[in-house]
Amino acid sequence: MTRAQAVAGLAPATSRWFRQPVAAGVSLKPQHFAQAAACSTSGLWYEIHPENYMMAGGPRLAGLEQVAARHPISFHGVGASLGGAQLPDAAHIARLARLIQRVEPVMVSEHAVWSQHEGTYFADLLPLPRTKEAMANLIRGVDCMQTGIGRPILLENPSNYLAVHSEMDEADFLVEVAQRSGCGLLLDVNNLWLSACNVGIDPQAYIRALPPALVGEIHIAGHEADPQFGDRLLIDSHGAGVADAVWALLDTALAHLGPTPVLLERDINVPDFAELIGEAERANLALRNVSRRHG
Amino acid sequence: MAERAKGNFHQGLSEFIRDANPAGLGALFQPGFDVAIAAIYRNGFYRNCREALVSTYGGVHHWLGDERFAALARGYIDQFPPERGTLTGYGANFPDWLHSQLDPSQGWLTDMARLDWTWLACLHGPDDTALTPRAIQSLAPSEELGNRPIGLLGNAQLIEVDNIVLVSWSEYKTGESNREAWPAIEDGAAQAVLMWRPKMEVYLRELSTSEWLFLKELNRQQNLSAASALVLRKVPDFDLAGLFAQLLENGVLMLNEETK
Repeated sequence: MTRAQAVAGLAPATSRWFRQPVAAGVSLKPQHFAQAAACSTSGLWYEIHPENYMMAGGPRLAGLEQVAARHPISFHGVGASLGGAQLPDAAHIARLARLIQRVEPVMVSEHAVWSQHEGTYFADLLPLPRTKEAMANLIRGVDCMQTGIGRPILLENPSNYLAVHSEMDEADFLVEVAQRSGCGLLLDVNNLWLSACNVGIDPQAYIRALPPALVGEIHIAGHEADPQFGDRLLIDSHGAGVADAVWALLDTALAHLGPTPVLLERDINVPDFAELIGEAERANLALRNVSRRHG
Repeated sequence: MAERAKGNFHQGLSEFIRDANPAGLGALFQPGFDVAIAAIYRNGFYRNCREALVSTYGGVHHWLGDERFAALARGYIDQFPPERGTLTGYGANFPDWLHSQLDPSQGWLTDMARLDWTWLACLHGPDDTALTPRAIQSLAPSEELGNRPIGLLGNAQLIEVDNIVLVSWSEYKTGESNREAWPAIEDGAAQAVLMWRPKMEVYLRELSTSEWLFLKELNRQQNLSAASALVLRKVPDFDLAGLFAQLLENGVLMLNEETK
C-alpha cells in the first residue's frame, strides 16, 4: 500500500504523478517547524521553496530535516528560470540536486516562467509569451532541470497580470510542454483565477483542457487587489486567506481531475500553525467530497 | 551558458525592470498594455531584493531606519543585482559598498554590516562536529596532537570591528537596543571577535590580541604546532594550554579531516 492510499477517507492515488498523500498540505515556515513535525493530522504534507534552504547547514536546514523525517516534503522551486533565454544556471541546479539528495522530497516542482537574464536574477516569476519559440525554450529548460536533478518535475501555470503574445491557449501550451518534456503539471487555481480576472482567461475551459493524468498537484492561495488598480488587478500575494471564488474553482478542478494533492500556500502574513491547518482542512473536505463522487 | 533564442522579450522586460525603459515591453505584451501594470514586475524585483537585504543586514536596518535603508538598498541593488537563483546569501559585498556610500561620521555602520554578515555566515555555515575533550583523550597516545589537522569549525568566523559597534550590535541582537541613541564611536578601538556555532546557536567571544593571532594562524594552517609557534614567538608567556582547553570545552575546534 502506498502512502497516498493509506490516507483514511480519501480515494486511492490514480495519477502516476502523485508522490505526496492525496490530501491537503501546507507551506512550511521555520516558525512552525516544531509544530509541523509534531502534527499528527492524517496525510499532512508540507511544501518549501528550496531556494530558502540553499545553505551549508544551520538551524533552518536542521528544522526542515526534522519535519522531513516525519512528513512528506515537496520542493516548489522559484529560481530555476526554466523559460529563460539561457539554459538554467548549472550551479543552481547542482545546489538543488544536493538539497534533494539531503532532504529526499517526495515531489519537485517549478514554474513556467523565467527569472534570470544575462547574469541578473530578478527574484520574481516573469511571464513568457505563448509562442512556439518560447515553448521550445521552456522544454529545454525543463529537460535541463530534470536531467540535472535526475527526476521529473511538475510545472506550474503562471499568474497573468497582462495579456502576453499568444499563439495558443495557456492550457494547451503547458500540456504540450509536459507531453514533450516528460514533466507533469501543477495547477495553481489561485493563479488561474487571477489570470481569469486580470486578462480574461476562461478558467472552466482551462481546467477542461488539462488531461487529469498529467496533473500531480493543485495549489490554492490568497490574493489581494492592487492598491492602485483595485479589482482590475489581482495580485498573487500568498498573504491572505483563500478567496471563496478560488475555493469554488478548486471544486471545479477536483471534479475534473479527480482527487489530487492540494497545497495551501502562505508566504506572507503567515498565521499561526493551527489557523493554517484549519484552513487546509477545508481543502481536505473538498477532497473527501470529490473522493465520494469518484467512488 | 548557451544562447538559445533571440531573447527579445527577455531583453525588453529586463530593461524595463532595471532601467524603467518600456521600449521593449511590446515584444512580450499584447498591444495596448498598461505600462503601470507592468511596473509590478519592476517593483517586485526591488522589493524582494530589499527585503532580502533587510533580513541579512538587520543591524544596519535597525540603526538606519526603513526609509534610509531602502534608499541605500536601491543603490546597491542597481549596482549589484543578485546573480544566483536565490536571495539566500545575496549581498555579500554590501558592507564594502556601504563603506563607499556613507559619510565618514557613519562609517561605523560598515562594521555593523560586517557583523550582520558574519553572524549569518556562521548561522548558515556547515554543521561540523566539534572536537571534544573526550575525543582528544581518546586519540592514540603515539599520535602527536600538534601535528593533527586541527582547525576551527567550518562555520567559525573571525572578524575585527570597532568595540563600541560590537556592543551596539550585541544589544540589537538581544533586543536591548535603543535606536534613538546612536553609538558614540569616537573613542572606539578595534576588537577581535570569534563567532562559532557548535550546535544550532551562534556564540560570540571577544578575543585578546594573542588569541586573535593564534586563531587566525590556526585557521590558516590547520596545525596546532604552527599556530602555537607563531603566537609564542610573539607572546612568550601566552597561556596556550588554557586557551586550548577553553576552545575544546566550548566546541570551537574540529578535526579537519572530518568535513573541511
